[in-house]
Amino acid sequence: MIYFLMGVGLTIIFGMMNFVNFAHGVFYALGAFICYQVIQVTGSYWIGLILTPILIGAVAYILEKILITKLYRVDHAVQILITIGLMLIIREGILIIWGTVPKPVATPSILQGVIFLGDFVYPKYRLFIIAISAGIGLGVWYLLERTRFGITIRAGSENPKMVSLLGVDTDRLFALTFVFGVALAGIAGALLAPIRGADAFSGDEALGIAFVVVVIGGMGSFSGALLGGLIVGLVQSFTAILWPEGTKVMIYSVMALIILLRPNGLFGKA
Amino acid sequence: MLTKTPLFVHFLAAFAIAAVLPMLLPSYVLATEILLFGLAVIGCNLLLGYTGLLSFGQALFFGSGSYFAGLMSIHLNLGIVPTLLITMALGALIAILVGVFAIRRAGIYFIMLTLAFAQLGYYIAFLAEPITGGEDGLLDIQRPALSIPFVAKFEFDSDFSFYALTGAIFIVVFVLMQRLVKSPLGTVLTAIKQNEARAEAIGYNVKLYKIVVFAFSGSVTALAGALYAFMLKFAPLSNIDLETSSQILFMTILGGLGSIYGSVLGSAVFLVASDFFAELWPRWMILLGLLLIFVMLYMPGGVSKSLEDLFAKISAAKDQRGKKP
Amino acid sequence: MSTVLQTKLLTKRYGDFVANTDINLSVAKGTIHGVIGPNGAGKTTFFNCLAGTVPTTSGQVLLEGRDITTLAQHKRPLAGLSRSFQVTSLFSDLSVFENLRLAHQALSPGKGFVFWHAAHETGSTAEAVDMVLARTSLIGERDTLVSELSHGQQRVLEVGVALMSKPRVLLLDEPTSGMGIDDIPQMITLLSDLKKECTIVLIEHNVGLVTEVCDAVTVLQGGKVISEGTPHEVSNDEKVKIAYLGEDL
Repeated sequence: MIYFLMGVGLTIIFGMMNFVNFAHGVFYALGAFICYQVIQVTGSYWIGLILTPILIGAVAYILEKILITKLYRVDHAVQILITIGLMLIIREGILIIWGTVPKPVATPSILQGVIFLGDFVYPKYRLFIIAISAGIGLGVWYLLERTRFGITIRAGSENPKMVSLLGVDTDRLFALTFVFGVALAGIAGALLAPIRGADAFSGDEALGIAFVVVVIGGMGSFSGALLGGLIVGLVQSFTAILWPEGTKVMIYSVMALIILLRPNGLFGKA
Repeated sequence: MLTKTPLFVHFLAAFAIAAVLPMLLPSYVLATEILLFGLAVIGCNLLLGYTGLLSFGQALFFGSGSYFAGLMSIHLNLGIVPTLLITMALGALIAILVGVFAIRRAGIYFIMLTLAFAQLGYYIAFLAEPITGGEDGLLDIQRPALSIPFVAKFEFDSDFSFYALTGAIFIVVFVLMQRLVKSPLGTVLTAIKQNEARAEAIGYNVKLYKIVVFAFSGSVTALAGALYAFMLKFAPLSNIDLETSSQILFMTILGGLGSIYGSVLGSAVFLVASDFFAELWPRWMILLGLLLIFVMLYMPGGVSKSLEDLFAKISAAKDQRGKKP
Repeated sequence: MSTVLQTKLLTKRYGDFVANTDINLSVAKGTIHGVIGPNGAGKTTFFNCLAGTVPTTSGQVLLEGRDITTLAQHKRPLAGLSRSFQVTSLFSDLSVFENLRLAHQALSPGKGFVFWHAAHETGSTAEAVDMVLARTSLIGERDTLVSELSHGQQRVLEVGVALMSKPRVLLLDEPTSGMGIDDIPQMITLLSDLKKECTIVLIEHNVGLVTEVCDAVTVLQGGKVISEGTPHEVSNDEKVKIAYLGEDL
């Protein structure tokens, strides 16, 4: 599920705004650090989890206003390189603020330990991640498919000019979409922090995984991101049992296989 | 478009670059790095600048080159020429594999596929610890010697001799690449970059050409990776990571697309600047990020020209080689 | 007169949408055959199937009796079938000469993979290019960049590039699209001149041009053939009139 959460923000931003965000992974890393910092200050993981998307959304909003907004009309290659620049800046910024040593984040005490589900032993915290991700997934789906905001976003991705002629403020719409997508990456980072810690260099890996999820599912497709996330999750779990070190290799191999069989991704538009 | 500069002019230019670089730079090592990354950038430029294919996985070829060459030097001891030739062949092979998959899709999917394959390579290298050394990298690489039977045996132990070797290879590849981009193949690549549909319609098998250019790019980039491993006497895992891919890409754009001279310039500017800033401040990459954004926003196209001016101000003393194709 | 290009029950589907249904077309050698129809009639899809730009769903395409239905697009110029594009589709940052030279080079398979010597620009290549330049009255623009040509000249070059392969069948997709009134006569002259050596299939919007140059016309509507015959016959066909007037039957 967590993989879905990483992929969905990327796919929303791409699908709705036709914008490729290579800084997506570093926002995930930043999410983990913000969560860590909030916990340091307040002592509560829960406040961390709630404040992280808000704070990272604020960062994303500022970035959108000063930089991203200039990039909607340019070539994908340019978007990629500029967001790589952004990635470097944020990553180095993290290293300056928090230093080069990864920070551990404690699992909240309620969620420590395991639960027995029939014959399966499952850590509580992982179940919590699944539940939260599923909840967020549902919320995102509802937002995109069932609300006026979602309809406008989707229309805006088809024909921004038309939408703006109809009196919708597309600048604001795009800014909100970007903030939303980035906030999702941030939440993913905060959720995984107790398992993986906060590491400035985890962004590359997160970006890679997010891309795999999105490529498997089909760029810009919400259900594709969901399915892609599930597939990556399943591959990860199975390999973790059979060949623990080989999970990453398997994930990328499965992606290659899917692309070979279905070049558009499972839900991608031709 | 087809400027008719005789090949020996390019040869002289390449020779001049290789001869002058060490005089301008504080060390042979930095000069070696510039030339070998120049080769990697040429490899990237073949794809992006000449064919219009943005590959985000050049590190896969670069890193594989490092490992292959390193492993051969440790286990086989074949001498420098066979080692490098086999490395190039293997680099081409990997590039063909990636190419066959990646060109099934265009645009953003293509870019992401190249990236994903590079990541796949990274994790394989990471996992195959008994062979590649995993996280620690492949250690104890020796520089193979050049032995000409009954004549002489050259060792490349000193910084200078290794620079001479890199310089000689650089000149050969540089001239070959100048030839390639003006050859029938080169002109087809330009045609594909400008208008893929038309190239197909007039009778070119665009997919096959893309795979061929991948092979060239892979072999030149693997060669660069091999030289880098021999320079360091060690093949770090980072040679195959995302960062290396984006650095090669950045040097390519920095130097100017579709220019073999620009490729060397991009490599030189990037590495001299890195060298300069890295001494001042460990977090200098933040400046690199700013520079990247600035270049992409305000200097699209004429990047190499604008940057000459920019860097002339920053490090006038170090970078005086204002060279423009 | 023998048939040089033929389709049998050609059908093209995009998902649920059927763009062409069972199209049977016979193009006689040495003629100019127009394919017309209102917007959305499936002309361009049909044309792309002929040229091999998109694969057909079912049915056959025969070139001089040879089944080329599944022949890759890039192999068709060598088989004698060449196409132009409706929206000018040239290598715009290259010279006129280089555009034509590339088309010529494509005719020698394997030639394009040569990387050890410079591209040929003299001898037989130059002769072939100059011949097309002369026919298309672009001889004075030999070294001009395509992007600097006038629109009319680009349209003519568009045909010229397709001509480089010495096609026996030339597929032209709206050769006069976007051309000014003053430039059209030049295109008509060129087409009439070409008719002497190759068969032309022409997709057109401009009914006047079709009436003037075509020997036979096929009218498509809703992806189906609704009328066929000489331009005169077709223009008197009630079904065609209705199709163009947009009335329901």
